[in-house]
Amino acid sequence: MKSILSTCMQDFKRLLTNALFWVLTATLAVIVLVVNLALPKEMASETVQQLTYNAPADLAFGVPAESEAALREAVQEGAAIGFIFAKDSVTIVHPGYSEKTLQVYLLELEFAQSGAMPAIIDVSYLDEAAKEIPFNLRFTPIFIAFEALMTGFILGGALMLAEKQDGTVRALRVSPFGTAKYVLSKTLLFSLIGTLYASLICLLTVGVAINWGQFLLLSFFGTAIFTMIGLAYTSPFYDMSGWFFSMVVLLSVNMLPVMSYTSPAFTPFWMRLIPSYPILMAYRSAMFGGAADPWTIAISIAAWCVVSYLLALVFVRRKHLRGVKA
Amino acid sequence: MIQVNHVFHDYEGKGKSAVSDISFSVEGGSIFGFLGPSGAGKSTIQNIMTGLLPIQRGEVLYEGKSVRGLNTAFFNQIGVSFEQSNLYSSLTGLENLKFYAALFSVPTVNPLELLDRVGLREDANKRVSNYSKGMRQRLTFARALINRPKYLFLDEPTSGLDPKTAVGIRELILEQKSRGAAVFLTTHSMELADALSDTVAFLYGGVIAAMDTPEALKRVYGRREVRVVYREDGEERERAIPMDDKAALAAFLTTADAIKLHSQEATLEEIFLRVTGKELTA
Ligand SMILES: Nc1ncnc2c1ncn2[C@@H]1O[C@H](COP(=O)(O)OP(=O)(O)OP(=O)(O)O)[C@@H](O)[C@H]1O
Ligand SMILES: [Mg+2]
Repeated sequence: MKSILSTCMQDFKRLLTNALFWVLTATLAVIVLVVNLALPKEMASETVQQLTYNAPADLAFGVPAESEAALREAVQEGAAIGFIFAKDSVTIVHPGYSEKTLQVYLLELEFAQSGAMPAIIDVSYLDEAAKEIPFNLRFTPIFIAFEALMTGFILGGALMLAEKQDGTVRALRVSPFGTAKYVLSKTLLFSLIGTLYASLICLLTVGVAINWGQFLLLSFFGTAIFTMIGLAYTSPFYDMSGWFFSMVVLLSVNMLPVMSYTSPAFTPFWMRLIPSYPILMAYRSAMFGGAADPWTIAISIAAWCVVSYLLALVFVRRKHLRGVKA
Repeated sequence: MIQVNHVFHDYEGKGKSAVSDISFSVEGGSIFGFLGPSGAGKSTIQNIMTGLLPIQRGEVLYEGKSVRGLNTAFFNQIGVSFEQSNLYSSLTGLENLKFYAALFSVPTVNPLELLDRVGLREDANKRVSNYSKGMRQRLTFARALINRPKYLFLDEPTSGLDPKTAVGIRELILEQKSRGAAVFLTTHSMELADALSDTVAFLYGGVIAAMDTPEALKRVYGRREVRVVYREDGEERERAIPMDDKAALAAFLTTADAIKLHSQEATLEEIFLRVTGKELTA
């Protein structure tokens, strides 16, 4: 245990002199600023006005436009959807809505024409949790998962490459410091850093009213998973250039679950196999409540912890600690 | 005791051995000098002995136990000073030693004391990236001693050091010996090997060409000579006469106008040349 903590400390000191560490720390600040200042709290599309032209006088629908040209102009600006009435037809002018959205407007128009409009229309969103999430905060879990949790992947790899360059890995190889301790010490360090970064981002954007128990556990083990995958992945590399390039490819694959996060309808089975998928979902439920099934998530994350630990043990031992060209 | 029995190593697996049939042993409390020109295979043997290279053929035994079954207990007992210094350059000298000390589960030496002994006390809190080559080498050497190793491996510990520091390092190596450590000293320097080793082995082209105590090697291969500087025809001249040819020596001394007498032993350098027919250039 003494050797693990001591290694943590010295790796931390090494980080302080590492440029990548400061780049990632600065990125954290940028994220907080972007979420709070640059992203809107609500999307403008929610305040679309329904304009009509040439509509029957008794029709309780929309707001009449002064002219067809005025209507088209308003639609052009993106702030309206237009309904141009002719003798037996209605032409809808819109800035590019989906068929489904248009169906909703048509339904509303139909109700208005038939006079059978229900007194109260209640809107119920399938995903209860997502309903009230302000637009700018909706992306916080994504930022946390791909910034805070990736520190271990990127910086752990950078430390390993430096060990190879300095040749210190050979000194480790003739010491009693085994592979398991090596993996655990780096993982512990980055899990703490990742958890700190994740908490900072959350505090400075979403605030304090979240499920902290779930959030902290998730951040700790999430970072651990990515750190251990990173250690395994970096093991065979000797220099920065090849490593950096292929790492970008790997990180891109890991970002695919963002698609399922923003469009839950698109969640093919293979998507669930990517480690960032359960992590993103778990962050959303920790920060905004609802939706995610805690057991499925806990099991996926535990499974990934085991898998990534085994991967790290095998690769670090074979390719980093024992495999260095003597 | 370390025993190396019939070790071979072929890096590429194409039947061309870098070292062949190497056998020797190093007793606790003794220094084994491993000498040879560049490319002879010295580091290869050291790396096999410390487990950095896997054993392909032959055996290395520590107190009778094979290096193949290396474990934590073994690594707690060895100290290795590498040919190229390998340190954490973003840490200070002291931090490097403290960190390394923490890896061991046996008592370790006070890092500051060690730094003092290798002349780095004043630079203890300087980052290693600001150290000179010689300073790094001394730190690497100091690191090898941190766990009071029972088996100490030193690859070129004094090359490129100034004479005063080199003397300090020599003293430290001798202390390790008197403490009871088995010291495996790899070097190009015949002089260092001669001064420190109880046994020396000449490695040449991957095989051991000769192995014995330095005295025995000198007895067998060297000729002890007396060089006489004398005056003849108003000029200073010099002549070497074998020491065991007492008659010739006496005869010469009675007739010549001798100014100075030097008794001279053959150096290991000369012996190496005689044994291998090859110059040992550093
Ligand atoms: N990783 C390697 N792969 C292939 N061949 C190697 C490797 N390392 C060493 N050799 C070869 O093995 C032989 C012995 O090399 P070694 O490094 O043991 O020599 P050395 O005696 O330590 O030399 P030096 O005094 O220069 O350090 C050389 O012919 C070298 O080319
Ligand atoms: Mg060598």
